Amino acid sequence: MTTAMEDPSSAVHLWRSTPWAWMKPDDAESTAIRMVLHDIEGAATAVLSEGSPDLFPVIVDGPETTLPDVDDVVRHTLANLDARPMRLDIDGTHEGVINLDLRAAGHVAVGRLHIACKGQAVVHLHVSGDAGWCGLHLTGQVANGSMLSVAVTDELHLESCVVRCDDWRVGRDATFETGTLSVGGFRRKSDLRHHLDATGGNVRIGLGVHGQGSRHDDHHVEIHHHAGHTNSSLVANVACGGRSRSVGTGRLVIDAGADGTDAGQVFRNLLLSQGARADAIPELEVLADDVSAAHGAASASIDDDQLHYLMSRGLDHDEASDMIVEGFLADAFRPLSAADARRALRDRLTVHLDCARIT
Amino acid sequence: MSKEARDAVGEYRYGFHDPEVATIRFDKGLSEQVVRDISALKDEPEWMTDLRVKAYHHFVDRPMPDWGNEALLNSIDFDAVTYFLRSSEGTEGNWDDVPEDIKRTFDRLGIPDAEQKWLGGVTAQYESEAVYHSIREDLEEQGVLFLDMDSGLRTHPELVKRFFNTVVPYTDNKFSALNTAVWSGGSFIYVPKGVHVEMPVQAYFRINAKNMGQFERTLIIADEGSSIHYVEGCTAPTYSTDSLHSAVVELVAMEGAKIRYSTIQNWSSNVYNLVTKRGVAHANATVEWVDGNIGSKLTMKYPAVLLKGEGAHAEIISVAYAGEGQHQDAGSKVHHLAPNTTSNILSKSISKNGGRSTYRGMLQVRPKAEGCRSKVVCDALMLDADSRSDTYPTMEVGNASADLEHEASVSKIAGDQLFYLMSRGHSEAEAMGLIVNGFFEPFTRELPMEYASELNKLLEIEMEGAIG
Repeated sequence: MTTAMEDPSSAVHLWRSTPWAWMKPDDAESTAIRMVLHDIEGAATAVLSEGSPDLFPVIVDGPETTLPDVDDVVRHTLANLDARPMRLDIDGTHEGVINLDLRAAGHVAVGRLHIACKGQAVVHLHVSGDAGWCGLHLTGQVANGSMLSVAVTDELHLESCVVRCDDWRVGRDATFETGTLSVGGFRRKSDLRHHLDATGGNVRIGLGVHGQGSRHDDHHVEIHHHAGHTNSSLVANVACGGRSRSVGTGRLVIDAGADGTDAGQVFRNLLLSQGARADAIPELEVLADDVSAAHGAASASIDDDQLHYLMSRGLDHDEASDMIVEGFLADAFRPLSAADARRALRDRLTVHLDCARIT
Repeated sequence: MSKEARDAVGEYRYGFHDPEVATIRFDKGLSEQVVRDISALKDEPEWMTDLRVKAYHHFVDRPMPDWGNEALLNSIDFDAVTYFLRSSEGTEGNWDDVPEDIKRTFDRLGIPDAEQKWLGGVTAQYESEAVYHSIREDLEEQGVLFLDMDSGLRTHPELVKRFFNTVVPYTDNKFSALNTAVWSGGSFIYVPKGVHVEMPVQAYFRINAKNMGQFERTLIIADEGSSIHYVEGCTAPTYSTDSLHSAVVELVAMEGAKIRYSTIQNWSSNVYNLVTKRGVAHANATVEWVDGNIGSKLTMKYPAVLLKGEGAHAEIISVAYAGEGQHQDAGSKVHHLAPNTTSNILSKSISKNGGRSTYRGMLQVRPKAEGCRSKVVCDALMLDADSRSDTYPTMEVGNASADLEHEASVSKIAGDQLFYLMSRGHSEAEAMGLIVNGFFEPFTRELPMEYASELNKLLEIEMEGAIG
């Protein structure tokens, strides 16, 4: 356990659009998020167990930083709230999807999960429940030459307040890809950090966000290229309706000497109503010269030509709009090479949009 | 570098300095009394004195920005700066009447020559105040006002009072407060309804003294259906101690008017260049910033446009060159406040020899701004492994009908481009120089020819040693 930290100022970049004061939990006693591993074959290669806090080196600037030195308020808070971190060890090549259900209940629910992958696997984390406040910290290590695909479908109750932070480290010639479908929670802040530590590492990130009602969704994604000849891509597709607001910030850092890096980020916002608002802040910090780094951002409403095309084939306006939104959000997951991960995300997206139509 | 370029320009050709000429020089440091003394010396109206004093207190109370290059910002010693230095008894309308030392400086900068050839008017500012000012007679006859800011306040106080501090209020940031407190010199321009000023007018700003602070204030008002192109240039000697340049520029483009504001910032590498530039475009008006940042130690400058009237348009083209010991923190801001407004932003930067270039941008669409369109493109070239390039764009979209695009890329010079040119007989350095000139071409083509060729020469010099 560590001592409490002061609230960060809203002038701090990370907290500019979503102040910590909006997000922090109250003093109620916390409940651990229930994590259940199911629907796997060959369970011997994937084991969920209680882990030690040491498994959560909360990396802010490098691999050496350990928990007591954390200067990030979210990681610090989650470490203080939950004394029972879990770990999922994956060894060898795992066929099929490892499904892990994360159920958040109670007033304040907290979970920390560390995934260590030595081999190849697809993991689907399905987050649900009606917790008033939910905090989730995911960390992981993808060992040299390994490949890990993680699909996160977040379908928490629409009145939940959600805080998520990730810290992933990717080894030599390893690939980490992750897709997040963010449709749950009334107010959400995510701070997702990825570190490419050694040559040949790859990170692919897909983010699909659907804003409804007055939902507030703030995703901050960092990718750090510490070594040369590493690749990363980020695609964030956001569809905002009602009076919802989405904030997407990307921070792509290429260290000095990380030559041969190829990195790209794309933020696309689709505004579905007059009251919706979407902000995009894709940032680049490049300290090496022999690199290819690019980012793009675009914001628009639904294209009339696309609507017309679908409506001329018999769909009404709402059906046509829904189909375009579904295709747009699903497209965020296209960079993921694991078909199982894409399918898991797509299936939950379809269920979510069907439910949204009915309600 | 080619011999021609070397002969034409030399090493930072503007790094020379003349013996200091001062008819009035304030002691170093800033206080309310200094602010009041500047105002009293200029015999200003009471409202301006009061505004200066309010701005001074805001400057003192306001903390230094906690973003950007904080280390360099916090190294500024405001007590070591001279806030006012008058080097001439008055503003002359004839170069022969300008004190000889100062005239020689502007001769070396080529200003009188350029005035004869292609300018509609010139203001030359030396230290804190303008020493020379002229405008073509035909423009004067059409009612165009082109004055140094002190004369503008003296002769047209009502017009100045109506617009001064409205586009960039002193509360905007720490350095706009500093400028409002101690401003001196700058340009005041009013273009009457329907008048098109065909030839550009130019202001040239020169710091000569050590530890000098230059705080010019420029206000340009283009009335309905008028147009003007304003060009500014700036240089300073190379000293071992730092100087501070903190200007404020306010542009007002009334309905259907067009203002283009071009800058070639070529301060020496001991100058902090912390500038606030902002324009307001009313219905169907256009504000264009063409902004080149080659010199200075630290530049923080983000030309902005408030698109306030329906159909207004903003165009911002900027280039930055960050060499050894330089940080060019530049960018642009466009706020779409009204329906059917459009904007285009193009930013190009080069980092070399450990230099750092930063693009910082803001593109905002307010909820009532229906049907807006904008495109932002940022390209950065890194010429060596010691340099750094950052891009921090922000897009805030509050209206569903907006159509916005942003794209940015960072890369080195492509090997196949170098190979192509070298296979046709160019040395590697020449090939690289050509590619860099081509990289900046979208910017240079918007400049008057004389500026464009000067910029190309400057870049050629700066590129020296880029190879090997």
